Amino acid sequence: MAEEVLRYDRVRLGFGEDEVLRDVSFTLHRGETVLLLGATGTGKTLLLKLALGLLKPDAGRIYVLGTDITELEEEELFPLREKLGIVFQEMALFDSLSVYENVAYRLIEETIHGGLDLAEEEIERRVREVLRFVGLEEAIWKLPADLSGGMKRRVGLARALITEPPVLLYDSPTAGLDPVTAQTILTLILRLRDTRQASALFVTHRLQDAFLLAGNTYDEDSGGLRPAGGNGVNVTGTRFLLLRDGQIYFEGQPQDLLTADDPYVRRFLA
Amino acid sequence: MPVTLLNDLVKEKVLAVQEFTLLGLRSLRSLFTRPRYLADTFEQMDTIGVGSLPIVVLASFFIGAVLVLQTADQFVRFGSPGLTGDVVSLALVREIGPVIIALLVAGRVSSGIASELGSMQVSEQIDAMRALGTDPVKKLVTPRVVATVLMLPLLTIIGDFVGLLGGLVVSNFVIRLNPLQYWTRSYQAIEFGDGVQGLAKPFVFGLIVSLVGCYFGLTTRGGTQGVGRSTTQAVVVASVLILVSNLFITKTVLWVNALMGW
Repeated sequence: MAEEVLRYDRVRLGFGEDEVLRDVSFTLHRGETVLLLGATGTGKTLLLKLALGLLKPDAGRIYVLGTDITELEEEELFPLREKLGIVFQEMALFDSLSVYENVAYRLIEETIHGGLDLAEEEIERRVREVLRFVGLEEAIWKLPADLSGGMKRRVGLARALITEPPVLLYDSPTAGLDPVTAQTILTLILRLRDTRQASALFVTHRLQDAFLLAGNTYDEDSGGLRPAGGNGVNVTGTRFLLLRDGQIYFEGQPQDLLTADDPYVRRFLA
Repeated sequence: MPVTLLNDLVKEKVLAVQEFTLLGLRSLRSLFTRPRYLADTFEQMDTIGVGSLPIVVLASFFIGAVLVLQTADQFVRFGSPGLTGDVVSLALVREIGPVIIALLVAGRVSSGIASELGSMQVSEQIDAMRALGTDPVKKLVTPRVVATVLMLPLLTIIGDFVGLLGGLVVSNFVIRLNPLQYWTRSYQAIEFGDGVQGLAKPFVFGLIVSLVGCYFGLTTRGGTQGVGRSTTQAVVVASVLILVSNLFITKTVLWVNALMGW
């Protein structure tokens, strides 16, 4: 079994009387992609925020790269957060900063206030490289307000990738996008998974996205996708988790989900 | 049921006071720990200090002017219009200058901070900042607090001076008081203790204006409507706190002045 990069151990979280997560336990291993499915309001986004320490669980423990972050103070979390990249559902780009400043944010902060010693030219080179990866180099000096929804998502992806974190958290990165743009984003995510072997926790309620990620690999020659094959064997290292009422209702391989005869799962797949 | 509601309300308010205090302590503690965001602080000093200058100058001029009109009328009745300068300068330096300028700055700065941070909060930019390894208290709160605490006393000094000038203009052209007499009496009426009182207040008011704005901004919930609510609450709470704290600061400074013989 590969090394654990993220582990939720009987995590509970509520707001007032409303308990959103109830005893959620699962593990993300190195190189693996876990797809978190579920209807809206089942606590999928909360799980990502808990992994970053942006929220604290009411009970249970959360381990990131072997470190128990449950009791850590905000300042103690910063070094760990450097190893996690997140793409927010609403992009969360700094709207008063340019694309360059958004993507370079972490590098600039680390250079001015942290231990990094990067020249401005080196920062720009790295920003251009990652923007080229997401196909947005020409937008480097634009403001987020001048970008379309799909472009903002790609900037968000670039910002998450700039420090090449070993773990990536995607919060519904294709929500609200047209099919062509959604496909572009998913291709980039697959490219990242297959070329850099990043571990990922991918939240979505779009089944087509989940099965596309599970059933395809990135084709470097064509720059597109190709069916993963494997004759029913999961060769993409992808696992599905289905949340219902704050609990894990189903956990398994893509083919397990397809063949499950549970009424709720069938209704979810319909 | 009403008891439960009252209980919840009290708990909510106590929690808010606790969170506000903790935010204040964290922002002050950030002064002594790295990283320090000096560039952001200077930027805020420009926005808060220089940006508030026109409104402070304009308002102070007319406040000084109207003060002379009102007080001179009374002194003329007693045949001592020359005392106008004394009263106006004491009122401006000790009380009206610091309070009115703080209220003006609260209207501009507390609301501005609350709406800016509130918008960042509801659009997850604060979460993004934390996720990218930056402490929002250090990056956003401390520079605003430092900038306001440093700028408000300076704005008050300028405002007091311009207020006296406004009084000078009115006393000369409307009441026909000798400008030199007005200015000399205004200047001589102010003692060291008055200056202490007039300058101690803006430091506390600066803390209130900035921290209240930051607190309501960072606790914004509920989208754009929430941002509007936070902005309004910030101005109202900051204004009320300024007026309430003014009483206690005045009492304390008067006590200190008496103790020190100022």
